[in-house]
Formats: sequence, C-alpha cells, structure tokens
Amino acid sequence: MSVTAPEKLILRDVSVNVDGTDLTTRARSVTIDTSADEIDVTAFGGSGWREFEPGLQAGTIEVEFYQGFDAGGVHETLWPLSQTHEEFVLKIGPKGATEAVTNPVFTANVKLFGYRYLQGEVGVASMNPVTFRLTGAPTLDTTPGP
Amino acid sequence: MTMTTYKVTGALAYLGHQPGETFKADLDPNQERRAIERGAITKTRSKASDKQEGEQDVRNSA
Repeated sequence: MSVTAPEKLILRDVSVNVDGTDLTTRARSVTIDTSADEIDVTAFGGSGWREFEPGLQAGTIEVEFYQGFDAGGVHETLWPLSQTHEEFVLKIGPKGATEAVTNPVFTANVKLFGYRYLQGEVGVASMNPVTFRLTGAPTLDTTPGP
Repeated sequence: MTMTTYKVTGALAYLGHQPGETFKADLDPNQERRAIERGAITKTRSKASDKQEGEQDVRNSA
C-alpha cells in the first residue's frame, strides 16, 4: 500500500521580483496577508453566537531583505520606489519564479511603505524589512509568461 | 507589436534575464523609466525605428 506524504511546503526557493528586478537572493523572509476586516453583524434572534461577515479587504506583503548598496541591488531598487510612491508590479513565487499549477506566482500591483535604510548592530547583517501594500486584487499566475 | 531591445546592466536579473543579456520586450513606459534610472537595464534599440541608439537613419538623411 502506498502512502502519500502530507502536503508540507518547506521554503527553499521563494522568488521575489520587485518591479522587474530579481531580488530573490537578497531576501530571507516573506509574509503575504490578504485578510478582510471582520465585521460584526450580530443581530437579535441569533443562537447566542456572534455573526461576522468579511468587510474591506487589504493586502500587505512584508519582505525582509538583506540591505546592500551594490549597483542595481536592494537599495537602488527599493529606495526610489519608497520615495516616489509609484505603483509597480511585485511577484512572489513559492517555489521559484516559473509559474505552474504547483507554483502559483502571486502577482500584484503594489506601493512600497516602511523602508529602513539601515537597521542592525555591530557584527550583524543590516536588514531592510519592507512593507508592500496592494493597490488592487492580486492574481495567482499558473501559466508561464512570454 | 513593436518591441524594444534592452541589455541587463544591473547586478541582478531583470524579468528573468541575467546580467549582460539582451532581451526584447514591450515594457510599460514607467517601468522602463524606473529600470533605466536605477541602472537595471539600458535601451540598445529604440522602439520607434528599431535602430541602434545614436545611429543615423539613412532613409531620412538622404
């Protein structure tokens, strides 16, 4: 009898693409949250339990980058976006950058908030945890692009 | 569709193309501007005439 292993994704090759630039090798953690507000719509006549409905939805993507000032690197890519507040495309793939049914790449128009120019202490890597906020609904791309 | 040719000049890959590679694409103008400003790519052929930058357009100079 064959036993199918349970689905457990170990993050090894998450891809992070910011405005076209591949920052995968400069990132170490990712959190994508697209939660909706929880609106309490409890009314009389209920069963004694509160009733909730989803309200406004918001999307927040937090990525922790290793800060660096190489040409075309983390700072040069993110700093202008944090200053101009322009909208751009962010792509994050759970298992690399190639879209597939087993690797739906999260793609969204975002704006950048929360840029940290330097953060750390003596002897440790300077991290730059940034926050991207969605400006609309994201897509999960499963078909490789052109 | 007219495509522009770009070269990846930054230290990191751009749209799946490695540093030093050239590629053709029809980029959004704002995305193109930002990428060029931060040194990620350079434009090697213009979209309008598909000629090298600085190259004379012989047809119009005659």
